[in-house]
Amino acid sequence: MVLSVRDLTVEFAGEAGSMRAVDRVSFDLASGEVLGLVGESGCGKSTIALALMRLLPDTGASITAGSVVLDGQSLLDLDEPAMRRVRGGAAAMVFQDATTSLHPLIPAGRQVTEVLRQHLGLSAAAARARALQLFRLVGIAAPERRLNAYPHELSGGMCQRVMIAIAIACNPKLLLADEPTTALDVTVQAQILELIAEIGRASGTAVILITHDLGVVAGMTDRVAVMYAGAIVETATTDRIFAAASHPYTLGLLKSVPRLDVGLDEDLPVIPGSVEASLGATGCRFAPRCGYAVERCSAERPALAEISPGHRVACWVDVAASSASGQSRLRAA
Amino acid sequence: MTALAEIRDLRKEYRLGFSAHAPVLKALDGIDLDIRKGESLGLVGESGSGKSTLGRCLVGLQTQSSGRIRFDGIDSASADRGQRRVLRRRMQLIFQDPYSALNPRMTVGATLGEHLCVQRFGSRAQIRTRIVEVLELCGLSAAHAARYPHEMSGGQRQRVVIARAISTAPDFIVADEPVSALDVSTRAQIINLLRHLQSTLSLTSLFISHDLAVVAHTCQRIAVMYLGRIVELAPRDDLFRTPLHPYTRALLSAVPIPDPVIERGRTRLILKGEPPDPTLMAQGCGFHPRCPQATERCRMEAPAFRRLQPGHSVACHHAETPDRSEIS
Repeated sequence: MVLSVRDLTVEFAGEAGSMRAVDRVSFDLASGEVLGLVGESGCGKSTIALALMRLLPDTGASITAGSVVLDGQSLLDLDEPAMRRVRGGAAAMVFQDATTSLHPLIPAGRQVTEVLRQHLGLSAAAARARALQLFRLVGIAAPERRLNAYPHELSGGMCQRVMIAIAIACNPKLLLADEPTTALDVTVQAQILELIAEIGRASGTAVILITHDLGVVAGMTDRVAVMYAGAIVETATTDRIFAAASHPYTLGLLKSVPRLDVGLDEDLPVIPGSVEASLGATGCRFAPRCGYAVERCSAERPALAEISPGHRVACWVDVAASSASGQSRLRAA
Repeated sequence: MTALAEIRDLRKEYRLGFSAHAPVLKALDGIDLDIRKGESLGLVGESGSGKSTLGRCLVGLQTQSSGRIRFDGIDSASADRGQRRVLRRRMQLIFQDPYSALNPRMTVGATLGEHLCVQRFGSRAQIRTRIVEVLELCGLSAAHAARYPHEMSGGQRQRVVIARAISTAPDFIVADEPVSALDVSTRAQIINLLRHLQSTLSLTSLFISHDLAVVAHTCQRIAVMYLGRIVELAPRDDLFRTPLHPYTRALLSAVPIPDPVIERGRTRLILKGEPPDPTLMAQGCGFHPRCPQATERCRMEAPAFRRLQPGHSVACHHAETPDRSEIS
């Protein structure tokens, strides 16, 4: 395993005590594997990415438990200088909004060569040559000219390509992509996703794709973890999630996405209420919005349990049996 | 069917800078469009294609550089003050971001009340009843009138924005990306709400979105924009079944489908390049630098917007011989 995350817990301090943004999240990632981390805003998916990179803000947020092992190295035990060598080296990140994530006053090419010189100790000329190569790899047209261009002279899609070039400059073991295409147009989104998938395949980089868009997940991930209110509620292979989702929240999400190919003239199925309802729930966090909820759900929080090889669900109710019988049935222990 | 809004050769140009040689951005480059009474028309396109500018010109938030807009027979340019006041009440806008579209220092009731008061809706008592009425229409309750925006979720705020828009009983609504800022689970709720309001209030609406799937669920006809022009206009099902413009086909094939089996079987038409700089408008068809079917003629001559089938119009020289091999 390239990456193994165990019981990662992140808390934010607030006036009314601390709030758990990420609650005992565990997952593994093999080399070349693409994991989709799916959930709505506020579910903690971006916080996980920042925690893995140890980029959480100093004030208020802290990793209170858990371990993160990347390629045999325990990231949470590293000091800051060692962590700096990991960032951009073994682990790299692509952020959502490339136009604001690049430095506006430094030419795009130098932002790439900086990484190469810092991490690999390349000479200026060698770094420039490698940057040119990277620009070609990520599909930037007229790369020689673009090396000297400032971010404001590039389009959004082009900036995102530069970000990806920076991220893959040192052949990272792990690439974190946090909503990499949300700020882009659909036709450009298709190009960028194709590029990220190709990088994973070609170099064996493990990719975590964070997104709220289930369509994106279907096209390019091997495995999916669905998050709700800070915890993973279901994880399985991508095919299995779409064919046999077993958590009511996953089912609700899948059904509520407007699709081009079905149900155009009917109302969309909805998940009632909003995430706020789940704050302070003592039992299952989804219980206040769940159509299958029984008494046990609001009393006791379910843990992730394996229901078939590689498919784990945190739910008391056996959703498939319940829909067949029209009555909520508990899962056999 | 009669047209509620008639748009003829509408142009909007921005001069970027003060010099006489400053580049000119053609946000709208000759739009002809009829919006029929009672229909919901979808307007799709990428950022910078001019779709928001068109919506804002329609409701009078921006004035066009040239061209004509007639709303229910009244020309917006020559309307007098009184007519304009009536027009404003009859056409309303729903904004994209419910976080910035509401005043954070006003309660929901005050926000709705101010709007109704400015539009001279009626007496204070009538306004108070109306506020409760529209809140309930939008799936909220009378108790929400006392709340401030920060006390509500994104979906609830968007319901307030919608309630404000329909409170003056308009007959025409422009919804500019009304669900783009919302989460997946609330997005479906708001789409359903808009569908219901369209039918119960028999609204005419222009629904602007970059997301074809959202438009597909709310509109009967769809217009596709590219670089300030409408490149294809058709009833929804015709557009999806037989898209005639290569750009429409690319858009359709770029929409991800949440089903891995279908996704794997699709051959995606990935466009080269990105939408070009609208100030450097090339000669000929605006789409030719990215078009897989472009020929010499496309580089030289801008295609006319012409009707090819009943109700289905397109601006492409090669619309009769679409290259279907490129899509799944």
